[in-house]
Amino acid sequence: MALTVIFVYPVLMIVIGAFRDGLPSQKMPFTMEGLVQAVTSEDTWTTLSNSIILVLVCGTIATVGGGFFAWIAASTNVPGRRLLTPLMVINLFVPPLFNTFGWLMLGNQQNGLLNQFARTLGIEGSIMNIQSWGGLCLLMSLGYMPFAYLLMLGAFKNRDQSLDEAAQISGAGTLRTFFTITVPSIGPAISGAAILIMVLVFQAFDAPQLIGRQAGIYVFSTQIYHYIRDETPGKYTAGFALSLVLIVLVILLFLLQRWMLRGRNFTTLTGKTSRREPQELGPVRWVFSIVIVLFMVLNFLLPLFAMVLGSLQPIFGVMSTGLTLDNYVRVLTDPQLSSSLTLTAWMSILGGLLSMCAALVTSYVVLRRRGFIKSYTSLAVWIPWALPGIVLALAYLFAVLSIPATRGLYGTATLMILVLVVGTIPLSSRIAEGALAQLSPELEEAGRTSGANALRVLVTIVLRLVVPSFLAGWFLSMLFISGNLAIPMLLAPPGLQPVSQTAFQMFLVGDMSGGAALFMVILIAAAAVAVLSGLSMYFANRIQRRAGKAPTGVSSLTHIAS
Amino acid sequence: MTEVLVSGLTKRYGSKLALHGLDLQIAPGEFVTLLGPSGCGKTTTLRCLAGLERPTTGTITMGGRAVVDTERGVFVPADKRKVGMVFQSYALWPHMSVSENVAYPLKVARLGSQDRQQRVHEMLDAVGLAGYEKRQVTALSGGQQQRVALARALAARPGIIFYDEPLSNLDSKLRYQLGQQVRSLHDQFETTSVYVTHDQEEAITLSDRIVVMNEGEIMQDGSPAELFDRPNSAYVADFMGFQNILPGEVVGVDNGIADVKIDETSLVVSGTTTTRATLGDRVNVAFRAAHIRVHADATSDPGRFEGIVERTTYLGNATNLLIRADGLPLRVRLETSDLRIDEMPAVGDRLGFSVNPARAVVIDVIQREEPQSDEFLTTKTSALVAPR
Repeated sequence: MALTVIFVYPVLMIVIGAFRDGLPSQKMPFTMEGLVQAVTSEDTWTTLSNSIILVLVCGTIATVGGGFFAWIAASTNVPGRRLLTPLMVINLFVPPLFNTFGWLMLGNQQNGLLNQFARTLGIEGSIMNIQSWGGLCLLMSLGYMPFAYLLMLGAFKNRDQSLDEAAQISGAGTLRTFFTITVPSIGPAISGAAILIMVLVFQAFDAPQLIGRQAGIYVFSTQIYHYIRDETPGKYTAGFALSLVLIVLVILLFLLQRWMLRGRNFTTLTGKTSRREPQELGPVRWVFSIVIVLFMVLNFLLPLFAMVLGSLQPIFGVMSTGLTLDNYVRVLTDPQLSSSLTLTAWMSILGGLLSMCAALVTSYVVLRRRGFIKSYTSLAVWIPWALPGIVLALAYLFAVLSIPATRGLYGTATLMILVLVVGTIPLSSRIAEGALAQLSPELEEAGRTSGANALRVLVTIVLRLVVPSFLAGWFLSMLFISGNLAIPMLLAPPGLQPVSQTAFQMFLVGDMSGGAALFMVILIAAAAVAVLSGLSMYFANRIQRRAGKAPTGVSSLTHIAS
Repeated sequence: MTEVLVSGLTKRYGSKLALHGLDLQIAPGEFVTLLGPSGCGKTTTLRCLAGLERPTTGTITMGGRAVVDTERGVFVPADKRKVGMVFQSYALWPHMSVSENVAYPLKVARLGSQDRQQRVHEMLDAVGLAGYEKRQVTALSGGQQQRVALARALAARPGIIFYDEPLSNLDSKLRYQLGQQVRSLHDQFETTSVYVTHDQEEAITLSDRIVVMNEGEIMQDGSPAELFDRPNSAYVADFMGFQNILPGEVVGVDNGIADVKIDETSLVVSGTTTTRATLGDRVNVAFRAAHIRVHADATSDPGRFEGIVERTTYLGNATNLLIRADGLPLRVRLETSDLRIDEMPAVGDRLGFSVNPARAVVIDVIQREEPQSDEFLTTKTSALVAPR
């Protein structure tokens, strides 16, 4: 029942909304006009072609890059390969919005740090403009590479290395083996990762909104937003029609993946795996090391540097005024900005907790129940995967407005948090599934045969064992919520905006330093939590070392991808 | 048919030496098995021969061509050695069909597509998988998968094939069938074969020659019959299934038969000795449970001793006994066909036993030296027969 209200009903609203005109509170007849307009409108087709270009380019680059790094980490002797996984996990933790802000400060045409640097070297004009097709593709390709990497790492690690050796014995050289055996033999993992990345690029809002719009590049998510917020009165029907097209395309992508994997189960082909000797690469391995460093600089160090530097400059991009902490003081004392921080903190703590709890319960049901409850739950939980944040927000907006009793929710923080929780479900349920997968049913059965009742087993065995993963998932959900821009953009109550939205608006009016400082506060807080929990985990492990190994949070994090 | 000469082969993993200067010669067309427990270095040796592992020092010559010579910096990688290999995990490429798997080495060798198809067909026919060309390898059973792997290894007609425990993932009945097939393919295609296994039965039934290894060293190298009947050390005897290995001292030598007084008992067991054992030497005497004969009464004839039955295990066509003779536990195997129905020994029976001197072997001979070193030698030999 709760599943229907929270997951299924809003989707129905999109379908209904696409066939009606105006807000749901108004009585309007059903019509095909919205869809007809969407199909005939030139904007729709431009949006579609923009989206497809972006999805293909970024999806390909991110997948190839991620796969390349995964191969390096799993089966070569490239120096620095052991740093890759920690680096990618950290990258995954940092909200994409952060990188987008960072790159905006680096590659802005007028006063971007890189352009300023180039000018000091005597280069006229600007060397780059991040607000362009190139910039958008670069940023998004890099941004999704860590996820692609983690998606494919397991496949590279678990594959039987004797497959390569068999090819070598057959007379094939290193390159030929790589392209005819290594890559195709994990084809399903690669295509699976590619499709998932493409879905994510399809749904992305932050980068297209901050970077694409200035270059006149509208994709589905930004075009929907544009219809609803930039036009007066809002073109709701057009927005819904576009949302519907987007959902259908995403579902088609998922079906495509299913179809590509039809009847081909590559994993059954494993005997005892042979010992793992890293593949010896010649001098080219040093080139690969440089690529790793380059990636770290581009996707992490440079944006971080820009954010830190920017947050310390009284006026962004002006070096002569020196560095001060004024921005931080301003962020923490200004009543509106500090209330924005407080809201974000509460929102993420509470939302993250709710999201993980919901994910744990639904995953448990999917894992342990049979029949209709299981299939219905897994379908319902899957729905947020198909709905990008902006569509989800729109669907909920519509859903609460169409029932008089819930109309009061419109414009409240409660609704915003609820939608953020639902939007985080795909992420948190991956973590919950991972945690529960490590928990074999025998452990529970052993509890039952020892005389404990179901509740006692749940509390003393299941919950106790998933606690580390639960905490890790909570933390990750918190970061996700605090970095989400699309949902607050539509649903934030007037005068009560979370940090992501406030920072976004400060960037828009040119107060980049203030925005950077505001975002840095969140990041510093998150880093502090991460360090503290890391330390406590380390000490807990030291104490527990004798008592055997309990599953740790970190191992469950790497499962997100697997 | 390729001849292989290995000399001074060592392989070091970090600080651990996995191979200690191995010397080995394999004649063209020979079927040689490397036998030993896991971690004895047999797989490492095989992988060095195949070119999948780079030896630390040593030379390997294959068909007159130096493929490894660490002093001259020669190392020919696997893809340039023209060899075939069958892996324990089959290592079939999951993204290719049966015929694509078999055709791959031929494609790499640039065989024309007509010849290629013909050869694939021929190979699948040889392993009994004709008609399976279009199947996905993932849809085959374990035994079928391994037969595809066999066909692939043989497809390019390499002069030598390496087998890395190819049957250990199969159930016992299939293991026997496929083993026979491996041997008949070896004979049919006239290759040299190097086979790695930890299963002595497999080694005995398939090989022309067996090389027993332990901790990176060759313990014994000989025909299956030699190893089965005449192990040269307690280690090999144990591995070849000698259930009774006892330390003792030579108290009489006569025409290749040595009488050995077993330590801490009054028992004297006679056994064949190939090395020149003399009076007073410290030795081990090893014999199989089946080398013990049972007698209804315990007379005091030489070589006969009395034992009490402590446990019997009925196996169908044989019965295993655990007996205690003068405090010493011994394992005895009686063939059911040799016993009368009313003759079945029972726990507590006191019976006479004797060891067949032509079958028992006297091994690990340590010549007697100064009397004072006796104690040291005793501890060393008893360490060799550490209780199982």
